[in-house]
Amino acid sequence: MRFLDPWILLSFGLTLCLPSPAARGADGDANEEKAAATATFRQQVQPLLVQYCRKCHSGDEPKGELKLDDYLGRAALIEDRQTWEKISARLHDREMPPEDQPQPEPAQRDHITAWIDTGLAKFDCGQERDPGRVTIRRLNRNEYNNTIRDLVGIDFHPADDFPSDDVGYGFDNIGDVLSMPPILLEKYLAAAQQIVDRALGAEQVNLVTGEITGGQVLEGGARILTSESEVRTKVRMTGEGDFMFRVRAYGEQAGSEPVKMALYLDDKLVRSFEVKAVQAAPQLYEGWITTKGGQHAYSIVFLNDYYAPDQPPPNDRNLIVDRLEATGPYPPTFRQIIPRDHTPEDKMLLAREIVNAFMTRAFRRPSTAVEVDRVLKLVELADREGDDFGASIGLGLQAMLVSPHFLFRVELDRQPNSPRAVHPISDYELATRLSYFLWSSMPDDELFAHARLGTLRKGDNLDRQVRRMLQDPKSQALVENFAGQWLQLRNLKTAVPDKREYPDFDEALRAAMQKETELFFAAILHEDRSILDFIDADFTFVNERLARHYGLSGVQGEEFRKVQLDGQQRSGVLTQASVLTVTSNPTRTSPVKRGKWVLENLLGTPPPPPPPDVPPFKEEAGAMLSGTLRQRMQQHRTKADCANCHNRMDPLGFGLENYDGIGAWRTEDGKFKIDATGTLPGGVSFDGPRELKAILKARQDDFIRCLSEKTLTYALGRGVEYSDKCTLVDIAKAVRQNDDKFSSLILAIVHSDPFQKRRGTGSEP
Amino acid sequence: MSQAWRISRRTALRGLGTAVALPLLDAMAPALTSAAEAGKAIPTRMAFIYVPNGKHMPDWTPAAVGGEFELPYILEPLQPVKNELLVLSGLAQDHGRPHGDGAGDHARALSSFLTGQQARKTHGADIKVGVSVDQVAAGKIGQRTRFPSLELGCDRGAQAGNCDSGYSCSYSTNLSWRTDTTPQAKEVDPKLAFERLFSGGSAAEGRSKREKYRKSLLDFVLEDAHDLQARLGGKDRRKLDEYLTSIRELELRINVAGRKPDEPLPKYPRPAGIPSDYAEHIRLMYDLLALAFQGDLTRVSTFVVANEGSNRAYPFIDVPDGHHDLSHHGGDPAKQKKIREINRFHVTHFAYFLEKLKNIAEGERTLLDNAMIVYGSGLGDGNAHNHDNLPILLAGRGGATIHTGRHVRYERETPLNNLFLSMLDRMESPVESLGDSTGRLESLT
Repeated sequence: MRFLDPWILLSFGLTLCLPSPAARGADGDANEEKAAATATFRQQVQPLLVQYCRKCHSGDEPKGELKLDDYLGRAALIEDRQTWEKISARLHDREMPPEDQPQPEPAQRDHITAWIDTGLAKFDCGQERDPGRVTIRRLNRNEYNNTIRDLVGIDFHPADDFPSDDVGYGFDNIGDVLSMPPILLEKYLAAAQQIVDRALGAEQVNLVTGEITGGQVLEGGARILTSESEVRTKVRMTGEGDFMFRVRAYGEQAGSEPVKMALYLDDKLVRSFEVKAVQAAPQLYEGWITTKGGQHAYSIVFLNDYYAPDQPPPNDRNLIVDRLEATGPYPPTFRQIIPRDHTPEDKMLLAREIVNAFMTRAFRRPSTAVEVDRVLKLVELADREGDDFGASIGLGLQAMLVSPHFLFRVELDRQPNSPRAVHPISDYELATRLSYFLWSSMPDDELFAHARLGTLRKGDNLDRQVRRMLQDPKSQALVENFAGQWLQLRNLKTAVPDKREYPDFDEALRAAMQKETELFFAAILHEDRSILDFIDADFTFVNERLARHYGLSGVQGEEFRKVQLDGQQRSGVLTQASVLTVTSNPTRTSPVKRGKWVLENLLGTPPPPPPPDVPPFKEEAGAMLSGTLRQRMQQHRTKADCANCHNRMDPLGFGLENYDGIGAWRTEDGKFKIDATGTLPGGVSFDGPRELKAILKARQDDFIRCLSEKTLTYALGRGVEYSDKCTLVDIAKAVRQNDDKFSSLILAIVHSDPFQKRRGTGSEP
Repeated sequence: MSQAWRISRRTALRGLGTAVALPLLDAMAPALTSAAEAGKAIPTRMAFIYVPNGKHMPDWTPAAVGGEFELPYILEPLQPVKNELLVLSGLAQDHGRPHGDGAGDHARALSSFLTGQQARKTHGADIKVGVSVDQVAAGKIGQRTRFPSLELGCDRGAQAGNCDSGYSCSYSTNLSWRTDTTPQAKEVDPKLAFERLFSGGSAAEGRSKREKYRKSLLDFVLEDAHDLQARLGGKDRRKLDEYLTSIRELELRINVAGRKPDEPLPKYPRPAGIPSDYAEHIRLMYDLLALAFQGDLTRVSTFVVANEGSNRAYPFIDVPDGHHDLSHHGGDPAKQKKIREINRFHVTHFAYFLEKLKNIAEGERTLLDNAMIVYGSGLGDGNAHNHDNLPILLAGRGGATIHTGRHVRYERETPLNNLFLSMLDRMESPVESLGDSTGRLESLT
């Protein structure tokens, strides 16, 4: 099949979809069908393409990088399909052929596009969907920060020091693009240590300040208690919280029971122990107390003296204390990670429990015995080196925090090298996909519980979980990371409007712009509004600073509040100062950038890149000073090389000329009156942002498809491929059937094959 | 009270990562031991400094060729080090050109600059270009220093959106490529760069234990990663490869560090973070690079002063417009004048760096004499997006092997990579070819 002429192949495939008797023929008629299909194509479609398209799209420098001749020789069918889709879209939107070229009759135009569209749709959308394959994803910086917050319980953004994550397909969570250079691994090692230090409270200072008394001093400084007496000292505590009391001790064992000892603070029992250790191997005994600062008395009491001179040795039971410490206050996370006290005897058992619990959450799946043993080897190493229990556990935690199972979101295939082995991902993997999609973080207890019980996909559990997650404050991550990149809000941080041109711009305004769009997105998310509100909504959020910028009265204070809009000047993201600023140059507006932004982010029809060798404009001296921006940019559209794309971009941008480079409303630009009229390819004209928005709103199918594509890219962590086309059609259908609600978009993605399944590697199943 | 009564400090846990922020003192510690003082053979170093969006070439290229030439407006700040540098005209980086891949000259300009290879056009899947010259040297002689190479920059990667016409942002933000698919991320925060460079200066106490832990930890993750890799397919395996390679490099570095005495802190105030003043930021990065060379912490470095296609405004030199927007000047003299000012601003800081190297004595010579510093851009004119006749400077004498103080004009289309081949010879890292090189570059001696 591969070596067939794609023109023939395509026409063959298309004909199969038509309800012609020939197409339904038996297999034996294949050759005949192929011949018929080829004939239909050759007679009806190809002549049109040759007549109207081939002149420019051929030769050494084909227009728009589409070389019809050369293209015919290419074997990769997948890519061919994508090109077909583009050809259809350009024809349909009357962007092609260009205005100054001979035009096909409307019927001819429809004939070609209908022929391509039906063929493409039928050709591809079968029962069996290719879910595609997501490359193993490293946690990006935001995900790392959030995961540490939820895993360890400390929110201190260790990843802010990491090198920035590269962006692909417009997002920074794309598996293929997230690389792992040595410097990053260094940062992971350093971060793991910082995290553990903070969680377990490393670098504690000994609070034992007083003189130590009691017992008899042995050579080397240890103290021996030979009767039921005590070793005493004083501790000075600062702060409030959990303090640890640690004693290194051993016994001279005798009689029927081991040495017993108790730790007291101000006559209050902290903990008592059986000291089974002997001189060859003294052990650390630890007890906890929650207390306030100040000076306290600290004592270790020997509880069960035994001396039987009439018995054969060993007949004398004594307690030897050779180190005395008090440390704290410890962060609450210490007791969360190390939930109970241990004795020297059950120490490794407790370590196993702790490691197992931590690993199950850190690796986002049940641990295996081999993996736990591997970590325990490190804990034992630190223990052998004389580290206390917390420090020993800390080394184990560090290891887990730099393991690939933590740093990467691992999804396994039983047949990793078979592209045909399509299978649903496990419940743990699904819970993880969900949580990183909606929260940019690890699953919480509830998701883990469903994964453990295998109930995540039962009944309407999945829908309920998604709705719960969207309402959870952690869904703010979707606002910051998805909206921040889709709408390019993140670029606002580095925008540098010229102070002379825009003296009003200041940091308060920058912050307010950002906040408005975030709150606006969050409102659509939390109130489960129609996603069409993004284009046109009768509300927004402002504080006093932003209200002044917008010319809205009656808003006082820094607090943001929801306000109703009359739709005259503002409504939807396109009229928000944030978007208008990031699509401007420092000293002026850029209708080109704004137009491109609309095409890329709202309509999903990005213009092709400019041709590689754009001849520079020969701007006549003086033209710059005397003409309006529109007149100056007219050149874009008089030159044939530029006109096609700029005819799509520039009018959209000019429709927004009433907003200056920082999004303030204006009716004049310098001495020129603003002209916000435009005519889009196909002849639709408008005057001003309101009419422009009405046109965009009428193209809501394009918008829904565009937003679906962006959201799917973000959800999957890979670029959208041709094989996702049917999925996108399904998502759009589901959204339309549910009043375009935000949740319906998320749910449709979560239920889609690419989100639910995966397959082995290889190009096609 | 004996030692036994004191607390067991968790020093053992500190310093597991080589980049750990140790409690560095701001106090003036003894000056860094210079390579020369340590009695070692004086090494040759090389660095590549990248500035984006091309240059205003009429004010860059000297009129005369040879030893008698005047520095044009943009290069004027280099007057004090004029005798220590070469202006190299006529060099080309052919793989910056489309070769059928259409637009994306900025992405290609940076990604081809040190590789001499064609970046694969992709938004993300399958990024691929080639190994860069600095990493060739790092691979050969990197184990001799604490850091095989040092990657610095002033801009973080892109935060959102597309970078350049269908090319992943990796291409327009990374200069150094360790393998053809793995870029070397750069450090942009002077504070973090400082800590990374000078974190070895910890107390000897607990050092052997710390090293034992470190090695055990890396052994642990190696084991984990090997097990995992065996269960993966396709690109997933490649990602684990990146991980494993990084682990091995760290192990190697720890072994190297283990053989060397800890580096004392340099006599340099610890930077506080990324300064809001761009000029200050650039200066700090140059300072750190000079310190790293001086202390022989690395011999190979790259520094991306601004990402390719940067639209940064320069209001502090009276250029409030975005650099990239300006670079499409369309022949407008007012815009060209501003471009010229931006170009000169960057050269001013480069001159500061060179003078700094010149003031560090090494034996009979200076650090600058023992270095080769390439400065330039992968675009000639930002408006034309041309990839030939690139603006390239080579400063330093490469250990008295380069005859500086001249303007050399090469035949058109001479590959820039020929220069790199000649530099690698001087770094004891000779290779037969690199990217599109056709031989050694003539007229350096």
